Amino acid sequence: MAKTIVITSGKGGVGKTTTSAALASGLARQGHRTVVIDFDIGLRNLDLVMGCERRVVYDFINVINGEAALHQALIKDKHTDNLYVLPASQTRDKDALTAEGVEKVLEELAEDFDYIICDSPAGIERGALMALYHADEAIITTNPEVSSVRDSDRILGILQSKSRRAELNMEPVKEHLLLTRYDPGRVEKGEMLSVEDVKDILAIPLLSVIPEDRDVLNASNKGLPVIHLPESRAGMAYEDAVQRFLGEEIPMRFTSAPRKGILQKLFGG
Amino acid sequence: MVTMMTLELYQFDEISLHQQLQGLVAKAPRFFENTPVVVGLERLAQPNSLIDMARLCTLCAGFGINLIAVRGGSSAQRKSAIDAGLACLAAQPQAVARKIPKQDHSDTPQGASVTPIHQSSLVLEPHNKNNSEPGAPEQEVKEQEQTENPDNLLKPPRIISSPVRSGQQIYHEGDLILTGPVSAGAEILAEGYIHAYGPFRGRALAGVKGNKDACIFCTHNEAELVSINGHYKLAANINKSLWKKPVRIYLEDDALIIQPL
Repeated sequence: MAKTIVITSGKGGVGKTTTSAALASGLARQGHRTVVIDFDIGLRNLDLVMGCERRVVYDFINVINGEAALHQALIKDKHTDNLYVLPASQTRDKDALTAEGVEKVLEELAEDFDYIICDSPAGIERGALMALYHADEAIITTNPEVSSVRDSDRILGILQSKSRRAELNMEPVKEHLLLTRYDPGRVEKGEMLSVEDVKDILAIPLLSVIPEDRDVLNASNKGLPVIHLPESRAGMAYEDAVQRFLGEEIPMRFTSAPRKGILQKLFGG
Repeated sequence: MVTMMTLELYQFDEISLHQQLQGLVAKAPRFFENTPVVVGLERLAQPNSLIDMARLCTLCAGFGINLIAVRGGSSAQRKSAIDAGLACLAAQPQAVARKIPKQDHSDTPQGASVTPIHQSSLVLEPHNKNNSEPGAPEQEVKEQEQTENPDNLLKPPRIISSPVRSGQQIYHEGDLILTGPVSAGAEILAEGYIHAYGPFRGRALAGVKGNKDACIFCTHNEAELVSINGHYKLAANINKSLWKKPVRIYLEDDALIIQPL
């Protein structure tokens, strides 16, 4: 039985696409057949982060409109086996996403894949609603700042009321909190909300804390999901997220500032 | 031709009129601001009843409504008006003829033995001073039904155990019991009481249909706004010592009291 997971946040620029790429790659590396779908119709970022933008021929909307078969539009990831990307259309807008069309594509994907990752656009408009509608689980990507937390809260409300599971009175969508761009040093200085603050407001289980890390931007620019960089702190935190998502119990990392040695204190760093 | 707001009086009962005006002001706080208002007497259920115009003026003034004149009415009523410093306007022919809104006595539940449900009903409409034809702009603000004891009509309590998120609104025609957290930006409206057992960071409005006995009980008060029967307080105006504390919020002599528990 395929599981549909939406990566959503409400607010833009918090790391949904980075997270989608990393988690999809992580799940595929564990041997699960995984597809990641870009719901951000008109903008198309996921293929860039996944490093497959030059191989896009057909897209999600072509499949919905019956202009291409699903297997023609799916792009096989070059870094990981078992992973496919369904890119967004850049020439259309979100109105091209129809509920029936999305449902048909997801049903077809469910026959072949274990995990369907839906990379939601920002906002609470049609694209975002379509991305979350079919979700079984949701990963709420949140930055440790008030507006991001407020928007995540709003999205959680929408998941509870407008998802398929809510409409059909099924077991509610399982929610996970993923805190991204976390900087324990700034939290200690009181410049950033702490993990506890965010957990207190959103009241959902924490999947992982992804530290602020330069490698994230570098990896994105190279078209390589950050989880493939084994020394990167963000990559390790995403790997933890994958393990926890699959049911492993591992302690949280990257939630406190590293203690500086005496030499570092003296010479800066 | 001057268009004016008219307060159409069906019956004069101070308490009930006070409640109705309060409801109206709660809904549209600036509705009456510096607006001259004419009192229409043509639709009184008992046309010859004695009305203390001075008291009516005082009552209305309490809500920022400036009465300037009466329209129609018996000679005794007009005399009382002149004594109270109001001007007198001629009765408006079509006002007498026009159908009294449905909410009047006709649909009072049968067998209500003590007090009729509608003591006085209020219709506000721009009044045309030169008694122009019915095509003149007209706007009616009808009041919600006012009852002596709203509790009798309340529905059974509703229990919400899932978190109420930002942007969600919950309305219940009775008491509301919330066991989960209520986020900032969520709105909880109850015609009865509100009981909140999780952190409450949203807006709590109890007794929204004019129940001034309603209370809000909150074990973890971080509310953005609390209101009972239209009397509200914002977080900024709530004593800091009560923040995140268990509180009881109630109305006493039209003042909103927040009491630690």
